[in-house]
Amino acid sequence: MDRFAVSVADSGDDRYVVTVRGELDMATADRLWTQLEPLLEPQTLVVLDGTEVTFLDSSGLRVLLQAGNRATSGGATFRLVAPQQAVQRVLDLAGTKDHLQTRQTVDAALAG
Amino acid sequence: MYEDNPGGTERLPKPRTVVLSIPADREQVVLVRSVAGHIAARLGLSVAELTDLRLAVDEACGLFLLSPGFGSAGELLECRFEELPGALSVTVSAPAPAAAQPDVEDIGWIMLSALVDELTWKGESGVARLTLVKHLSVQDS
Repeated sequence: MDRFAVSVADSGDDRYVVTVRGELDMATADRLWTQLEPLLEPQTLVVLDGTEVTFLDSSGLRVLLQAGNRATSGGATFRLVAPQQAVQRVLDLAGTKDHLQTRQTVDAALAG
Repeated sequence: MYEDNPGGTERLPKPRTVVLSIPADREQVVLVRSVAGHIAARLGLSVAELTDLRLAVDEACGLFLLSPGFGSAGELLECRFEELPGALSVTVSAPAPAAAQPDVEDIGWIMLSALVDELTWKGESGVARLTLVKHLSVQDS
């Protein structure tokens, strides 16, 4: 069994939900960026559903921040849904809580 | 896998050391996290402390493996876990140029500093050593 998986679902109206499961770390972060980067076009909304992320490190966080920056500079929107401790702890430690748009649920992230 | 302290006596708690060498490869760091998790559990750490320790050793390995000046095929990263009285020390070491220094502005270093009680970097004789120390609130039983 792979310890990391990423999949993309088209929710219509230039909205995409990227679902990440497992361990987002220095070995897997590049695979996420490969999936995210082409979606971050002007006017798109990209929601990263990370509710099943079990481990996040600074390499994974860098990709999330990079996606947020790319969206901001390119006219897209990037939102993170990952209220669990494994992710929130890392956002706290790195002092990056305010650098990312976060929502409690995917529905809330898609709504605005 | 355990080495008892050669100078210890039967009556004193014996410091225990675990040493793990992994290929200098990002895919292998999961092994270091796993060992850290088992040691933390045996020491009776809380789930939050265990999670922090796994993250700390991951970031420590990352400081080597993600550094542009480091690493070539065939090199090893050594991780030494030492149980000290009231503390756990983890030293990650690998061959590195004498001038190699961690980037203290890097997000990995910032997180690591926040996760542990002591953090030191030493480079000598062509080997860089990063030592982190975590004070334990629960004593070994």
